Amino acid sequence: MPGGQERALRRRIRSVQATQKITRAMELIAASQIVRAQNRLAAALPYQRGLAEVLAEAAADAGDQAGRLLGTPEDPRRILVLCLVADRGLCGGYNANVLRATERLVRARRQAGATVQVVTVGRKAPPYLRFRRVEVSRSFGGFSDRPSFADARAVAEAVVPPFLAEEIDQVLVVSTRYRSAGTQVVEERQLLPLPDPSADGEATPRTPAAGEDLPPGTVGPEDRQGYVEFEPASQDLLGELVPRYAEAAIFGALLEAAVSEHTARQRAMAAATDNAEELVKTLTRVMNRARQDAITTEIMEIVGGAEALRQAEEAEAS
Amino acid sequence: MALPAAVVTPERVLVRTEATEVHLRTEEGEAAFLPGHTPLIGALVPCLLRVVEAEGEQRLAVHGGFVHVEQAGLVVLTPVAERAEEIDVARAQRARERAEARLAELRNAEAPPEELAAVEAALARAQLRLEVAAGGGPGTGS
Repeated sequence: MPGGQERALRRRIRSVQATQKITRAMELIAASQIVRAQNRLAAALPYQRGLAEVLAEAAADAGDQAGRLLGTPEDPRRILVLCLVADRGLCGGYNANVLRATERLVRARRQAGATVQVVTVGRKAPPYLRFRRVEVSRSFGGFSDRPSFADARAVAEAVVPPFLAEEIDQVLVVSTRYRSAGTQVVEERQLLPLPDPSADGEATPRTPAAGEDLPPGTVGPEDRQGYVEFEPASQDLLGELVPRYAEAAIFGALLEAAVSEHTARQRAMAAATDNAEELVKTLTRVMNRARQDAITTEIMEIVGGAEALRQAEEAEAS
Repeated sequence: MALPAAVVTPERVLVRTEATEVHLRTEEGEAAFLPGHTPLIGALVPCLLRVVEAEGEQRLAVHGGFVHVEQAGLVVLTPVAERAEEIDVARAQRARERAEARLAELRNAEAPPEELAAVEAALARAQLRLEVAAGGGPGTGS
């Protein structure tokens, strides 16, 4: 029956348009969240840099007495991997990239003979890892898009005490770093022991953008020449600095991951909206052709019928 | 001469001013900082922080952290800090009562030391908040 195909196509177009409305809304929401998350990331910077400076001073003063709190362990046997992903999907390869990197890291370290524990943030992590037989010893969720400092502290509580109790030799973080609006990179880096500031370059806190106005003590390493008093002595201070610094580093990583998540989601949803647009166009063309075909067929039938009638009349008359 | 001072928490820069004096408590005891203090890094205990300015002063409850003094000024880095006027007194009072009740319970039940320490810390936090909000507290008389 003519018109049937057309009706089916019309229904499909409507369904694609409805999906498009959803993806467009998600795109807009993600775009507004990006700005929010970026502001929070910027607001967290002075604290991180301030602690980095305190760490640098204390590390320089403590020297070799820092022991296992600083530097890179030579042969870590017991490793804890902290992996940061999102609570929700629909953000392109964001989750998969981090989870794949985590899985690879865990397998490589196990192969090298280390025992590896995995702690995750983000509801998307445990199902993926469990399915691939990487057991997750602790998981957090529900705050990946808007982490607060209290959330970071809760995560730190699961990660830092085992290191201080010498049950763990090294803590690694796998997460997405936010380089710029265009580039986010999955990166694994060492959280504990703390990075040794005397090794080249302060790796952890991001350098402030030009024109960013920071309070004293968080601006950057001024020439460390003078004598600095420590209360308590620097090696004891380091002991207190480790949990605070780790908290701040985890918070920073969570905030960067959140910005990256929103950016990835916005990009994915923009692509989805464009694809829907494209699909609607194609389907509309197919539908128009089907309708024209149906009309042509109908006309042919009418003309054919009329012609047949005329011929019958002529035959009668003759 | 003024002492540029800042109180920085993980979520924002809470105070940024030109101070004339800063009073706080490190692990070694009460400390006061005037402009031109020698460089110092200290670990704070939960305490009242007073930032004295040319006119008036700012009072905050800080829950641990570090103080870093250098030529450029003084910065207090703390995971949690609250301005005295922003403290919710009723809530702190409830928290104190709750912690006291729990503490009594735990003492009788011979609870694990970690749990006891956690409740004691909660009690100390509530007490500090109340003291700072009330305008009293250690370190006021100077």
